[in-house]
Amino acid sequence: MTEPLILGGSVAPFGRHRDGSHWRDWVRQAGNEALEDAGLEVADIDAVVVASESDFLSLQINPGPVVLDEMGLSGRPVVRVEGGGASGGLALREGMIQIMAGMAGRVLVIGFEAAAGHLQPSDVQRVYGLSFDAEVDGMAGATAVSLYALSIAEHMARFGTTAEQMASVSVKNHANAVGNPWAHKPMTITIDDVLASPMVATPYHRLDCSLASDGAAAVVLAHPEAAPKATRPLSRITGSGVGSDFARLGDRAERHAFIAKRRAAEAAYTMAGIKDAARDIDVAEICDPFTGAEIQSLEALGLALPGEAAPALADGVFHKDGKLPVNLSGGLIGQGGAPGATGIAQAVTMDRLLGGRYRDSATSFERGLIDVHGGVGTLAAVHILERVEP
Amino acid sequence: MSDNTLRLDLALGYDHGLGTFGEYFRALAQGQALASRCGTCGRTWLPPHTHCPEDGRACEAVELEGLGVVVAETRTRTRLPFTDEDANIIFVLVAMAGADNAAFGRLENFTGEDAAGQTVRLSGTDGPIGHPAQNAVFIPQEFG
Repeated sequence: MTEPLILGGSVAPFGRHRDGSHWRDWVRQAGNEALEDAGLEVADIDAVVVASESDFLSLQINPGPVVLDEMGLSGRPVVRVEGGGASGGLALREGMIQIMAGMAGRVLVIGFEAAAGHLQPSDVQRVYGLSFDAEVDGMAGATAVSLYALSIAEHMARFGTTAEQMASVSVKNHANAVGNPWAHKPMTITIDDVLASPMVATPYHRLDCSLASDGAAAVVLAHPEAAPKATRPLSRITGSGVGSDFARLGDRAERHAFIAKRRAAEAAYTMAGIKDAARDIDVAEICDPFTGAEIQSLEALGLALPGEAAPALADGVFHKDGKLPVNLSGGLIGQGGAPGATGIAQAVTMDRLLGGRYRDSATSFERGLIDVHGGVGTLAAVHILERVEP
Repeated sequence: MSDNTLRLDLALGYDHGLGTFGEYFRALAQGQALASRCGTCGRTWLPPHTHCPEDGRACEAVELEGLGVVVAETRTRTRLPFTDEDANIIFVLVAMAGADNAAFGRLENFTGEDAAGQTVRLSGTDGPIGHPAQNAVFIPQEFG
């Protein structure tokens, strides 16, 4: 089986860009930096995959050809991929498929979102209310935070998960973002700070929530036979899985758990030959739109047993110096959440972590996991990346 | 805001068909719980599905008694879609008697600290709404 290589990538910083810049500027920055990181020229790219979540946010329908024009890639095949918060991960999978099918040798996968500085926050909340079963739940008033809150409330009732344990996720991820030049919200805070922040929707305080961010990210994938000779460690994608669950949270038998993610992970682990994820994964970038969602994700991914992720988090197992570092970038909570870009930014981060060139760290890892989802864990994409020596 | 930024206000008016949800919404406005039942697997859904999400078979409409138990709650201050005022709202998931799923809606007339386990009745609402789905309002059974 062909295992696509990641030749390089980059991120246009996540944040609330009120500087008059346009998402095209962020796309061009991320795309050109990704090509430079990969050691390729525009002419080397065979095809492009574009991810963005909502045209309500960007004011651009059919963004693919626009991205091509911005990158000097006009005329190339382009596919736009959308799956809510999973968009970037699904775009990565689409790029993989094109390479594995022999349809392209080198694919630029690029994602963006104008989710923060463009619309007023209340309008962004209204748009994201359409991310679920819009006609039934969204129109009834469901927002992202209210549905995630209902889901984690059942987790708390079942396992005794506490607000303090969830707050420890916020402390970890905001701290991990400190020093990350791509991060929207690097902060050094305490559990008390989280618990003292304004309540948004019980049990979630403001500092339990990630931010909607502007930003872009890009990676260059290649068939091993279409890759230039490597001069540094690269990474290859050895596993990919997608899973789904009922669109309505209320329809699920296990509303406290992310079953779609469990399905996606099982498929990715099978493809990568992983038997015991908690043992075999060295580092992970995990979807954490809310603190409790990181706990639910860890359990769905099999990185902790059901009900055991929260105490393990509080004990430091998933801290940067812990047994399995999770969200060294800061995750959505610290680095930010630009849905079309998030899954791709995770791939960039993981590629650099595996290559021993992430930020100022010389530490390298052998095998990493990246994970994004849309809805309340409704549609999930999980990928396994492994280090390749030059 | 940067001087390189334009303020654009976009108002979109939709003539939005309700499709097969129309019947459910009309019943909801009367405080009636119009569910659907799969003729093959027997699973019963409220809100309804025209076809069973489990097996794709057509469902038939069934009316439930309208009673249920709150399985989770969250309290927030927000604005319902297409309405004008923020409000303090308790959103709940309610396991309705006779249904296999849970229904999302608002809980009103509840003054306790935690609604989980509370028996409630689907009531509809006389308050302002912006969409008929907002008639998914529950009240404690003692008010029913």
